[in-house]
Amino acid sequence: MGGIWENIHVLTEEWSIFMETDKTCLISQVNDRTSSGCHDVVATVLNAVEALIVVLDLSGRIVIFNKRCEQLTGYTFAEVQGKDFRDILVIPEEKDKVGHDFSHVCASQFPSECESHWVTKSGEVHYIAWTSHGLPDKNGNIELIVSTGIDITTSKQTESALWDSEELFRELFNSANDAIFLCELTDQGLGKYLSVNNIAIQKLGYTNEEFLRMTPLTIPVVEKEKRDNLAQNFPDSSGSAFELTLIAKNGKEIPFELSVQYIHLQGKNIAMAVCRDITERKAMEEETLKTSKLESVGALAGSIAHDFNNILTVFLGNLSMARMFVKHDEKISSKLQDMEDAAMEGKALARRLLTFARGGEPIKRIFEVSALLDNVGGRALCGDHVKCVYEISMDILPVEVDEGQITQVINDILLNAIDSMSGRGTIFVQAGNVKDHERRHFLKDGPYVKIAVTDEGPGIPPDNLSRVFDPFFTTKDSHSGLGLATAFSVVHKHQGFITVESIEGFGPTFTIYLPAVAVIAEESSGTDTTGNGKILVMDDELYVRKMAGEMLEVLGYKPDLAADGEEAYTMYRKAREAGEPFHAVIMDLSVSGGIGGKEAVQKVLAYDPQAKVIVSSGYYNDPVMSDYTCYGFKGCLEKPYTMKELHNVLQRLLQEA
Amino acid sequence: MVRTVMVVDDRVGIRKLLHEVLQGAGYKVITAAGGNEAIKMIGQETVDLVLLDMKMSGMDGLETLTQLKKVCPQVIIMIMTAYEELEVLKEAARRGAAGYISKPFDIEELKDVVASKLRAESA
Repeated sequence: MGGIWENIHVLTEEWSIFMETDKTCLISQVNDRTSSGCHDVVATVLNAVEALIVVLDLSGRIVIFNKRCEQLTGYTFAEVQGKDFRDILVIPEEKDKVGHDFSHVCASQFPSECESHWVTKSGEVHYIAWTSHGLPDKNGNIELIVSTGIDITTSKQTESALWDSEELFRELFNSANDAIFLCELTDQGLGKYLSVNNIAIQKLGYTNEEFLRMTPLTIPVVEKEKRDNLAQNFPDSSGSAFELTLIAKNGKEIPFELSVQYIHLQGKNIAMAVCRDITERKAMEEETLKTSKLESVGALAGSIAHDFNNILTVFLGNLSMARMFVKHDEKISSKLQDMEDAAMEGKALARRLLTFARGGEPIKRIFEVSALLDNVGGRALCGDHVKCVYEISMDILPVEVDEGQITQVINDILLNAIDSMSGRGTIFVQAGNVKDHERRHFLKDGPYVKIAVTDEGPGIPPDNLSRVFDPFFTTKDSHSGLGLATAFSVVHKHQGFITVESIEGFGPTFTIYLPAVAVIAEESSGTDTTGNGKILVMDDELYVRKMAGEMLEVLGYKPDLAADGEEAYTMYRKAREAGEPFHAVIMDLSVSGGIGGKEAVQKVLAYDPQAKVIVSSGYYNDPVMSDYTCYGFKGCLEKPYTMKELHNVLQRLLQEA
Repeated sequence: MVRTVMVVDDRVGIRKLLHEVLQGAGYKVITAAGGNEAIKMIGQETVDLVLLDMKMSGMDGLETLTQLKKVCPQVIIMIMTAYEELEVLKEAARRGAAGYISKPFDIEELKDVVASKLRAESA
């Protein structure tokens, strides 16, 4: 731009000199273009210069139009002579502006400068930079306007392209997801930051001005020595990626993965650092590590428990026999009893190890969170000096969990809280749906609920915080250190997650995340008695089948009872043949001295493939219970069951087509 | 008629204990220290019920179970396990195991289970 205006000024100055020296000639030419004398000189100058020269009268009519103007516009002087330049040469969009500028030019100090578009005879548009001079008459009044112009279309286009490209670069620079830092590399090493992008400002909280006063060596980092080494070795260290934890203005430590490149830009040597925030990745790596650590410790615990159980088998078995042999000797019997008691403690420890090692496959059913919290034993443990404050959102979704396992988890956390408060204080239990902004990166898609337990104890020191879920980690002599490790394992098997947060001096918060059931289960207050249909109950224990029969009657069903699989099959067949079929059958899994549920269901299904058979057992760990559909059962009822559970299973089954 | 129970476990202490307990309960008891020995023995003797350990060195419990059922399809096989891995139990059930008993067990409980399974089979 400077170059263009310089050229115009030179031209204009030359013209002015010419005007001063030969003004008379020009005026005479204007008055009489055919007059002789200076005519040739003027015409030659006008037509020889590269600049556009147009002379206008004060109303904008064209008086002179040089050769360059003719070449550019395609009009001859004859075509435009005496016509208003605004009507012929100015693009429609600029007519008002140019008209305004022209009036301004006529009244202003000279020389005056402006830029405008001219349209040619063929419709092409050119961008022209103008300098105008006023030409006074004999009395000193401005009579004519002499405008000298240079076609700057090409340079304008280049400038525009450059501007666009700079704009594009800035846009890219600022819309990158990574923080980008540019700093100058001088003979003295890395200098001040030249530029940082918006993400850098957002992540670290410094203003642009604050950044421009910093260098890569003064920006706060955790690993200062590592940073200094890298800076000193630059540009040898360029191109490789490394991790560095920067400290934001508010003191937050943010881990970044940096990649530094050496570039040459606008004559400067520049170091460009592209920094990716890896907070989430780091957290996920830590969680994966924790999970795999627990899995390997779990495998070890399982293996120890296995050997331990084998040893105990021999030990306990032989002790029992020894007691039989010496039953008349009280002293020896008493000693053997002590040994057996100790061995039984070993058996309990092996159980705990196994529970941690595999958690037990959860047998899931749908529960309201409030019902789960109601069943937690810890609530009963809250005595005079410990208060539990429950805050459960009204809209909380139900969860599909193994009731026993999850209540045990919550119970362990509550007991932990009671212990940490030395039996005095308040425990806050909050439960609600996980909202979008609360979602943690380790949760899968779909709705989740969270149950948060906070106590008023002294909190967990930072060194212990990452170890609370480690097996056998405990700060109390009386604890096995398996409670929270088992909680982690159980929640993990529910596709959930458990976290702990603690600021020293304040009680910790344990948060359990559990997958929620999107559709709210129908919940009735109390158990209704709207059951309908014939139900066959098979159980080898008389009191169990009698109790089931009574419950079914109360619920409104018509029960019949069978003592084993064979009898159940016969009754099922006969009822169907009599045109009064059973709508569902509840079968005990293990029947002493007869056909159990596993075999009986096959017989019933062979006779009636549509039969609705429910398996019932107290052995919740039995593979048939956790995988009942594979064995032909349509439902599962864990003993002991409540009327409501019995009713729910039957209702669900009988509603199915 | 005296029923025959075969105990398959790689631990001598368990074989010895079960031999004594079951013999005391009136059964004929034979023992095998591993899968191969058990398969050989079941071809030579009439066995009514097998108590089979799941985790053994050499041929494991699941493979032994499959082979025993091939040689003697009607035999009742009870799994003994010191570490109830659900997948293993499910697989054992699919391969024809009649039930399982967890170690450490009460010897009276073990005798009840054996008696009940043999009763159910003859019923």
